[in-house]
Amino acid sequence: MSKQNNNNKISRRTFIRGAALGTGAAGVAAATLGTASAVQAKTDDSTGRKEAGYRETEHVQRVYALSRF
Amino acid sequence: MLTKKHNGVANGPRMSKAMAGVLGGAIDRRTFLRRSGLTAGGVAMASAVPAGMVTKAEAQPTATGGRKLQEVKSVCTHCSVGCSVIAEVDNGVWVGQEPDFDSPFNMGGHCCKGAAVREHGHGERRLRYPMKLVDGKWQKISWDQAINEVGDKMLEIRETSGPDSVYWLGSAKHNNEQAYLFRKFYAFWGSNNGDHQARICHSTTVAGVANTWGYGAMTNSYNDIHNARSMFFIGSNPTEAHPVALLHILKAKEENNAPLIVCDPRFTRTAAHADEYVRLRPGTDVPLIWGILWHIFENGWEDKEFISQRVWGMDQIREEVARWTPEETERVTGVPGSQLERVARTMATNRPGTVVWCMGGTQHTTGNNNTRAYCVLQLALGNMGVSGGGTNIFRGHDNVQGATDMGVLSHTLPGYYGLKAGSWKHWARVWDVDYEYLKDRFATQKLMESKGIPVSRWIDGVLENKDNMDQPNNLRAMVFWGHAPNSQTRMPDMKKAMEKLELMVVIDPYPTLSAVLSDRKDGVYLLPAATQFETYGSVTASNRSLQWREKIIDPLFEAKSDHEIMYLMAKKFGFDQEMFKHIEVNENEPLIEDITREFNRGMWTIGYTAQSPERLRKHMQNQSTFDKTTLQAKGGPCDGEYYGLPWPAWGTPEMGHPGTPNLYDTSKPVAEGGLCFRARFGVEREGDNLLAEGSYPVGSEIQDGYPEFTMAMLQKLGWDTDLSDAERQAIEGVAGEKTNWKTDLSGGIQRVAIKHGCAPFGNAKARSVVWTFPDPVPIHREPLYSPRRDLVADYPTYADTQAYRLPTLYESIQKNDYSQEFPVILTSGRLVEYEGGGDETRSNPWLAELQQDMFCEVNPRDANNMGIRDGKMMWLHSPEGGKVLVKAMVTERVAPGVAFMPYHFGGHHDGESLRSKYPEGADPYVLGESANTCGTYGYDSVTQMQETKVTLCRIEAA
Repeated sequence: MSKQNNNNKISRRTFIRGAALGTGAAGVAAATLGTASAVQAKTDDSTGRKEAGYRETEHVQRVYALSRF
Repeated sequence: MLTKKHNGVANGPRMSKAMAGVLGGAIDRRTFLRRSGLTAGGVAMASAVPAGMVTKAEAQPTATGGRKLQEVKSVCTHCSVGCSVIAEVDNGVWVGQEPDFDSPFNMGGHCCKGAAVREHGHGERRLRYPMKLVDGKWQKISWDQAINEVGDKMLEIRETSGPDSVYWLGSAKHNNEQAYLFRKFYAFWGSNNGDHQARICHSTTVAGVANTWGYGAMTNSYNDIHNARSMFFIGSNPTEAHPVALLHILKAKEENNAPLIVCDPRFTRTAAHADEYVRLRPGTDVPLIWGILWHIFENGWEDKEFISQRVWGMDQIREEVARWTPEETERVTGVPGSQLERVARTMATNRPGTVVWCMGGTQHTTGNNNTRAYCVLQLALGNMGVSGGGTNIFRGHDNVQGATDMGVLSHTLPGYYGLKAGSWKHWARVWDVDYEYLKDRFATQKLMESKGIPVSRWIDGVLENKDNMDQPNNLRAMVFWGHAPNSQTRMPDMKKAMEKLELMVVIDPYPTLSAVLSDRKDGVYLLPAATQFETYGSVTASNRSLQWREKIIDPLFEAKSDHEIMYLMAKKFGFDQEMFKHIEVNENEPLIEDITREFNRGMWTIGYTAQSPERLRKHMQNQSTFDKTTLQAKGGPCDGEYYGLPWPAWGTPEMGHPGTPNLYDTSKPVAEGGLCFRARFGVEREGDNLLAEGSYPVGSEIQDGYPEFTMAMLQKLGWDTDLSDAERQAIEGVAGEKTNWKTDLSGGIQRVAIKHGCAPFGNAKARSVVWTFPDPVPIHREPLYSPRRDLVADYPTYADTQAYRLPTLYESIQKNDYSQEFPVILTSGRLVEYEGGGDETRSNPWLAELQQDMFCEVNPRDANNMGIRDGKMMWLHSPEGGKVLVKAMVTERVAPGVAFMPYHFGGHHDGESLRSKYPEGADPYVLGESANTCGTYGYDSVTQMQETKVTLCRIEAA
């Protein structure tokens, strides 16, 4: 789960995205991504607005409930 | 979980605005995929739902036009936790994935890999048909042509150089039936030159642990950790490598307040959860453990009763531990004495506690010393054979446990029977072939009974002077059957070896790095194998439970299942009749259930005999009836059985043994899953009794230790009268009274022993000293490439030797001082997004987008000294000549003087991309330098495990 700004800690994902790309000979300059929802109950609509990744969908809630066994 | 939430919704940008500036605009996932060519000419999808999404079946009424979706249950193929997966299939097409909330292992949870398995049913970057490299170009060929050409070449090699000149590298990703068949296959081929990933992963664990108390596997389970009162992780990063295991680990942490101690040179994501983080210098595990034990002995915290009843050799350990005072321990490991005192106190006051280790501990020249030290620690604390304790070894690939159990190794047969004549005769009996026939398949009886070359050394099998080898000729052909090349060290040498071979065959759903690493222009064949979702069979999770996968879809494109390919090759080589004598074959596909039943008939040593297909399927169908902590079914069709019938499940399926959830637990009768330590090392040593004293499983009629069961022993006890006539007759047919619990094919000896409350394999003490190993008492030896020349003088490595058919160097490497020119310690590890060599997961768009660059973690001090900037490129040089160009991640996560690289990348070499060398459309989305280009020489003194966790390097800004 991504961490938003923590003090000095930079998560690996943020680093990869935030770091200026001097891709040069390293090849793959695959574009970085926008939202990467791990779970999506509905397809996103035409507003073009993307939701941030983690959301408490029914699936996620059920996993939490089961984890409290 | 850990994410901060506002109104239940996590905030935080996934996309940095800065990025937008650089690339001229934010790019969302669909654009990324489009640009990667995913949606262009893709496979037709029946569903309107984008690939990889977890959806509710009922939310898509229009997608299937009212047809009912079929739900098929399988098991994720990405790690040994064994998360169940429910696939939604519409008319033969895999259209969706649902969580399996009923699985006691994952309860519907997944890591990113498990959530993305539907890509296997999509297969954009898959190898689609057989291909042959001709003059540097890939040509499509037919299966017939492929099998014929490859087979002919191999037969020619066999004729001129002998069967040992072909190397059969198998897979931890075969299911049990395929793995067993593969072991049988290269036995019938006539060579022990076969192996798989376990060699370079947990081979030192299996050897060290099995030689301590009998079996070399995880003793408890992920679920059993719920009962732990403390948890000690060393060289293990489950947050990235076994993410769903955190479900169980954090439950103990939060509900039991179990302190979590993490020992790792890096402050990993697992360390981020720790109550106590111990930063040790790579390669100093034994001093660390002995440093902890020093405090335990000093304060009398050891479990004296447990030791006197169930452990041999602890006094010799005390002698060695006495030298590891807090000062000496700190001098070697870098860990302050005060911290280790606290760790020791924490473990002593919070029992039972569990100890977990992974590659951080195993991948060393002294790996077998490390694993035994971990075991001794738990023996001293009395944490073995108890729920919440144990040595919970987290295995890697989805079926590395199964493949190891099936003996896909160069030094044994299925069930760890070994390679002696007696073992071959046992398997000849099970396979219903003449022992002489099998023997004739081999070049000599000596070669039949001697360990073959391990995967870590295959390149030396090609490159070494054949006069220095213990086999007639060099390897001339190499088969990569479900195994990547970039998980092995010394890749510059590997490139040379690949170029020297006459034939290279890759059998895999993907081309893999093997297809492009070398500069070969021909003599390479790529044969498309199907994934585990395109077939069915059993798979063994790390906790020894077997799960059954059902087939989700038919093999994609022209891929064939591995067992079908094995049949076709056996037919080409002319031994299909013998090999498949009791296995039905339908249209070239061997029947999986027949294979299960065959290994049920033969694997008595580790109790793989009671897990029939029917019993396993019943477990999968009734997952919800199993208790999530004890793993025992409470009521329901599987009442009383443990989920997946964790081995040993003794006797025949009819005998109905419930499986053994926690090994060596004497609080239960053997018939109900209890056990004691195995009597494997004799009855007596130096005048000491090696059998258990006053400790035995509940209900045992022998209330003391006893040796392993033979027919003669049954007769002596008068218990042979309990044998049925059929059992008696079978026993007579094997070896009369010499028949033992491992060779008796009727299972009668096991049944009767258990009937009287005894473990068939005896009841002994665990031994903390392994007198057959190079270092009987585990000691510290500096890594081959060490920055501490002062310690190399005090704790030198081994003398050079000959092992597994090859010269193996130690001293002649360590005596050179590389520390001036290569001052930084290099270590390696895993990322959650990828698995193994990485070609498969980097070909999965859902994973590729999450981790797009190869990188190296460097401490700010080292970075500043070398002019390396965060996010900029850097070179990393190895003393053996390899070098890689990677992105720098400057972080305090690694200590000054230590650098880390993940090993999952491949496809860049010397700073250049090899993308154009892949067959068209089969290149992974993400390529990168391979960490093992800078991986160096160094092999464990018992198992030839490679030393990937500690070597030296030089770093500089690019």
